[in-house]
Amino acid sequence: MRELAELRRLDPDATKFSLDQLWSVLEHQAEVDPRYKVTFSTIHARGDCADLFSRPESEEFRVVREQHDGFSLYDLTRVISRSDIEGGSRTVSGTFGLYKDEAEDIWTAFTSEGPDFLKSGLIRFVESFRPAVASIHLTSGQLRHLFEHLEDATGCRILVTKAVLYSHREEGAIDFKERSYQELFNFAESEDDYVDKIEYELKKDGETVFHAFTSRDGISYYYGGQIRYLRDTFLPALAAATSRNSELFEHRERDLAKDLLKPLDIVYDRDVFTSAEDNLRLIRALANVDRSGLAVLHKNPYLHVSFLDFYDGATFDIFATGSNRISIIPGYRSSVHALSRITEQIFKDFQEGSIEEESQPEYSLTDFLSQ
Amino acid sequence: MAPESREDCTSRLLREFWDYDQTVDVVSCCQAFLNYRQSGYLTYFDRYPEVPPAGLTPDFTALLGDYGLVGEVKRTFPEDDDAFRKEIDQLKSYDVPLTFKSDKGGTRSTPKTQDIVLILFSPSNSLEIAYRIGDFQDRGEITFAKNLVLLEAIYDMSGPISHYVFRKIPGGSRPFRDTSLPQEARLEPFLGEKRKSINVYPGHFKSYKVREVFCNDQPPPLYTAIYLWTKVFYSLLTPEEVEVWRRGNPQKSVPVKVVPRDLSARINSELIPGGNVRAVWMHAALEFLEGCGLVTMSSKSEFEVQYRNLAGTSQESGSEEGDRAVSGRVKEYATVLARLFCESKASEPTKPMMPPPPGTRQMKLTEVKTDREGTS
Repeated sequence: MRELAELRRLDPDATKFSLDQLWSVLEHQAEVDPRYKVTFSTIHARGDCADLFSRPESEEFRVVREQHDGFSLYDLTRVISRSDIEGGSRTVSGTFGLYKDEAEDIWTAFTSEGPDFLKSGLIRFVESFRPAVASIHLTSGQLRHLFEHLEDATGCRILVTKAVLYSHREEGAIDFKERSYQELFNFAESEDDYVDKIEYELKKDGETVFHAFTSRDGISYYYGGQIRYLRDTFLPALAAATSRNSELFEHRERDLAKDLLKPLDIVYDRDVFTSAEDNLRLIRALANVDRSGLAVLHKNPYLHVSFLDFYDGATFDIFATGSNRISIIPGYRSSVHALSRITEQIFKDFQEGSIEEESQPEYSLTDFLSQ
Repeated sequence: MAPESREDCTSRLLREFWDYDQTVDVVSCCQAFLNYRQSGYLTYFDRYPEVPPAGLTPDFTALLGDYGLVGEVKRTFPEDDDAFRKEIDQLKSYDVPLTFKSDKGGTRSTPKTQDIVLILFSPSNSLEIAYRIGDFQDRGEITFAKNLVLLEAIYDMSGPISHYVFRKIPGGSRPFRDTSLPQEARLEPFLGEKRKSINVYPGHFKSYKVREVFCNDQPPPLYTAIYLWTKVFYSLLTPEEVEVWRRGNPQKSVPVKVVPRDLSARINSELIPGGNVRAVWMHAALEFLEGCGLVTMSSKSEFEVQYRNLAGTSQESGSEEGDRAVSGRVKEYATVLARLFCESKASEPTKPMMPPPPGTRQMKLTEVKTDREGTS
């Protein structure tokens, strides 16, 4: 990793470096090399993710960890063995860094290696720790808030240079080019689409001061300009936004001792269940969660699905009992990973909503009795 | 008689599955209503009663201080008078002073006043059934010492949020003798004298349904099999077996050995605390899964489950179950298991479809059979 070599060149006697020193080197590299690119992946992990990553569970990965002050660097090697590869196998290797965000249980992995290492090395390595490590997911609304925050905090104008949107109902991507980010999100709302990826520039006095990319699954690319906009503004806000969902998703398993259910609701500000077809769309969305199984106990007019995540055995009863609400009731096993997967698939293939803790119902006699 | 086609078999199994689920809903509604409405007066709602000394198994009992309700849910009654009379005789078995559970620990007490509430969940036949019951009583062919209260349950889809509606059926029905309760907690003035109804929404009863899963009737084997597959078998895996799926293909089978009696004991203690899930239900479900080719009987009392994610199981597209079917593109477990079972049986035409397991209560199996005939 060229950043480590640069750190050592600047201070040959040091054995450890701080996260601030690392960011200084990243800033320097960004200034001197117009082709310099860095990828950041924001993830959720309970406990010490840095330690977890130093002990790969799969034999196809080898890592050597170098621990610094506030971050770790890992030399990662992956041997991919597959019959369709010439010679039966190939090796991918590179270096990535990892630091803990201020937001609870949120970590950021980053690398300036090329796309092959990113996709076949780092991302696959992170995925090999599922469900202990979970991808984070942002809704279109959360992405919009991130951009509003970025605009407010930097005083820059944000221009979307390219975006990918998907319809909740139909297959196929919609490309969107060269407009303000508010136009993009307004367009997505009006067309009932969700925003998947955005490439954007920060403009100040007509000049591009920053060029980057972000996706709803927490991947951010630095393409050019002042990387401090990522460090100081965008990545911390991204971590804080995802932390809220993660907090909601933690410790939701049913409490046997207290016989306590801890449901979550997905709430919509408009009616999304207006016909039997809407129930079917939700069933199809849930069926699209990979490595999962489901049984439909009651299909219409109210919906009740029993859902099992085969990654970790998390189970859920999922209900659609009103026109604007989905209730997810975790069983004796639940996980951030499973809830994150379920809600994201619902947001993509059914409809985006907001996740809320279900308040304890307070029914009175009049709720039950006819007038 | 022509053998049942694969499609008819699948439809029948799914209809039984959904019918049972609706009965679970109705019992959950009663539990939700009595818990909310009578929270200050309900001593205990027993969802899985087994009343000594005869071991009677009504669908629920509810003790409200000195007043007790014995509840039975019926989707239909037979047309034939003799068979109809037998169903009434079952209700008659509750017409003696019974001991009600008064707490989770199993303490029992006998209420001073006890009534029997029959909930008819049969949209097209409730009034006729009520009339016939009343007729039997008027002719003196059957008399009840306790009051037999007839309620009708219907599923109301007319409003913005669908819900179950319970109301007293005039004619044939006797009043709730709940005068020991304070006026505001009494059912008779509201349901009887004012002819009002009780509305229970899925939002009210869903937590009871999730907790309890079953009702006191023997479930169709498909219903139990779905519960075992989605909620129980995974919890029996060792950490090493879980790793097989986490790193590899969840369609790869992992053998899990199970004993019906151990399964029901585990469910009643850990998954449905206070439940009364019977070993014979487990046995029937495992035999059903054996018919699906997913389980083998390794000894007289032990089965080996080839546990895996069924979402990859081949399933034809189409919707021969009509408008209640889930799209063929969705690998939904109830449909997958029903089809696996019926495909397997279609290739073995000489074998009986489903012999009841030893010890199965024949009366309850008959109810299931009657249900599907009555609601098709």
